[in-house]
Amino acid sequence: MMQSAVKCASELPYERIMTAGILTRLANGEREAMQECIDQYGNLIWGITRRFFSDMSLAEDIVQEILTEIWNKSRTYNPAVASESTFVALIARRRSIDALRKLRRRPSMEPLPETDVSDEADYNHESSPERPVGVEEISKAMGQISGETRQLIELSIQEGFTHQEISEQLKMPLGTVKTKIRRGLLELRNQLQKSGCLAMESGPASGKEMR
Amino acid sequence: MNNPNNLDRLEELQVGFLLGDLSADEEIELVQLASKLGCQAYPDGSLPLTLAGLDASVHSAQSEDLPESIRERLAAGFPSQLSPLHILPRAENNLIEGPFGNQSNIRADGPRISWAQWGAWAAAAAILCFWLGSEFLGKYSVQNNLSFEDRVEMLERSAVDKVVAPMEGLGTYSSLAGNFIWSDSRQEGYLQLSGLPVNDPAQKQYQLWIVDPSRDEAPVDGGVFDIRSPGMNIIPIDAKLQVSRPKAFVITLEQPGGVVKSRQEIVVGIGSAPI
Repeated sequence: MMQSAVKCASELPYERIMTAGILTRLANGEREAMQECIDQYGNLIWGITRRFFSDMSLAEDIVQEILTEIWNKSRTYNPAVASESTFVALIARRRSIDALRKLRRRPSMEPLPETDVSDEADYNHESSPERPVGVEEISKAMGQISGETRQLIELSIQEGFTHQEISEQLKMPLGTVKTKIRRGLLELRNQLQKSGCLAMESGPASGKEMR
Repeated sequence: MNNPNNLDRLEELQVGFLLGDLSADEEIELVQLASKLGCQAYPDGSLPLTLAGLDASVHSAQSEDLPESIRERLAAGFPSQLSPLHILPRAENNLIEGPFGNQSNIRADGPRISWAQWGAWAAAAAILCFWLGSEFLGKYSVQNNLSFEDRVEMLERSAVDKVVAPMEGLGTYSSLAGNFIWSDSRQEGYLQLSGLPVNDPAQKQYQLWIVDPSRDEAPVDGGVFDIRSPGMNIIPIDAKLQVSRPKAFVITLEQPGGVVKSRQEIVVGIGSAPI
């Protein structure tokens, strides 16, 4: 299996480390790698964070948290599963959502468990994909999705419009916008699985794929 | 057998979770449905990766740039040398017995201890250190819209030079329990205290002292505070002077408004830092 051939950064031989990616070198303690990480992925992290937080200084604090977590998790990076940018985005989105939920916390609610379940849980699949999730794969998968759904995803994720704004812009009921975007993203996931970029999962939540 | 409609709905809600657009009702529905279907509410596996891939894809083409000022602060704040993560030692907060035997036997109004002794005890008390670099990430503004709880958590998560160690009550204050958390690089810290009696601010107030022998034998005033309700209280540490690798945090009970120099007539508790 592909996954068995993938080692965590700390197990890589020196020669491999010298030509390795930013995350691998970060895991091995290279000071310059963090600078490169900020240079390379700073805009990506900032963009994701700002979609959740309009407050600049709060967003800055979250970015700081995200960079720390990237450093902490860099040794778990598995290039067979995702590109570096996808790995970075995974952490950025998760930390942003965690922070958002904290700010919105309502004492009367039964809260969801904190999402500090290890990232490895969603990052290291039981079965390995044929190729990692990267920009090109996403682009191809988006091309397989129907026009209206693609438009909704683009307005939401790419343009950063809120559901309410999309609803007004397209004169579509708010609930419909929400549902279509969610289903569209599930469709995107299914396309990635079909193309071999994402492993098929087992378990109750993947029953749709198996039936 | 699971109802396919339930599975579809679960995944929809999980996507909503990842988008951060779940309503309160939907969040409850997600927890209940996940429980009913015997799987975890928080989505793992392919869904987060799909979203992350999409994020990365979108932002490689179009993104709001990280402001240069923030980029510079982030870069400047990172330690000059990183340790490979797999060989980093882990912090341990185990304390050994203090200089006076069982600390719970010390009377709060008992013999006075020199500040140097507090520092020495604190130095001896720690077992291992976990310093990842004291300058990491520089000073960051504390968010006014965050609760103390959130600020503590943020400090715990993101300050790599954070020090966390238990606070112990002394003498009649032996019911005191909790922790302190401190970050040199941010000059920010908090006490998380429980079991400390509610005080009457008109009569007495608690005062925190920070023992930093590298600065001076005299401790730094860490601020005056009140305990207004039983249970857990989070107290921000208000260091009046810059401190570096403090050896201990000591709480005394003083006259209203606090004092410039404590006579240590009532020492309430202490927390010593790992070294």
